[in-house]
Amino acid sequence: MKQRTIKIILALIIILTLIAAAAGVYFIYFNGASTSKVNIYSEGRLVRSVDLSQNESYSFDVINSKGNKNTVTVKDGMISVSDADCPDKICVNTAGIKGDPHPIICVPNQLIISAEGAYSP
Amino acid sequence: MRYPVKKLCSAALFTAVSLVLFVVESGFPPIIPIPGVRIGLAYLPIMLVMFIGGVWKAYDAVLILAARILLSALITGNPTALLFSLAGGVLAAAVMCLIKITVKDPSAAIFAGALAAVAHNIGQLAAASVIYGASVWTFLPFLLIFGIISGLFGGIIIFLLIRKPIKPITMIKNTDHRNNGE
Repeated sequence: MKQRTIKIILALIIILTLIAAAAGVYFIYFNGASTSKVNIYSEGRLVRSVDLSQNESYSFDVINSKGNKNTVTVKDGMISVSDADCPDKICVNTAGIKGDPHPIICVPNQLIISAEGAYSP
Repeated sequence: MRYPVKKLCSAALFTAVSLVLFVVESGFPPIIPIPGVRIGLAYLPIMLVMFIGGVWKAYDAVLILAARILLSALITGNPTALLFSLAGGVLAAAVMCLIKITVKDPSAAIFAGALAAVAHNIGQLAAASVIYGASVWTFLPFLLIFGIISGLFGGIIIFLLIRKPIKPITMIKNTDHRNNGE
């Protein structure tokens, strides 16, 4: 194949991936069915279910078998991890769940917060 | 396999640069609140080695990438993250090699930057979905958009570096032919 043809094909792949990704963002985050029930798993076991439709504000600690702690906060119908003793703090920096299908995952403490139906261990 | 001492030293230097960029990048605040979104600075030295030509072949870049991933696990101390970056790294290396074979001029770096980022994200999420279930794939669209944008910029940087035969780049390119000792 000619160099020119290969380059056009590669550029097309990049552009198509971008368009597909943009469409994916649109469908998953702006068009998806929202859920109000969120499950919290620690080390693969369901430890608590939270109903986000009740508009309460509270926070609680999830402590795993090694004694590591994640503080989970529910506020204005959104659930997020507000504090953690893990080294990387990725779970704290992940956006809160407000009916979105994306999970919050803390790798070191093995904590998963996920909308009902989106994850089962 | 004969691996010249000078080339070995340069390869070690590239590994160190890549590792330092990896650590520097970990210190940046997150751009958007999605885990796994990175600028990919650590891939710049690897892309440079991959596309600079001269004495540097594709397997040198793959070896440096492998060394960087294994060493970065020692720094972060996170075996799960090692699994993710290993899966991403294997796919990214494969894509970079494929593009190096098919596209013969410096602009290959730009295509490779974007497509290696895509491959890395897919590999990363494939490893993550084995551990956490299929719901992590919902991160993919975000990772792809940011991966392609940062990969294009990284590729353009490498393209600008290797496009013209400027002196420092030529020196790196011909590492083991210059002053090769007595």
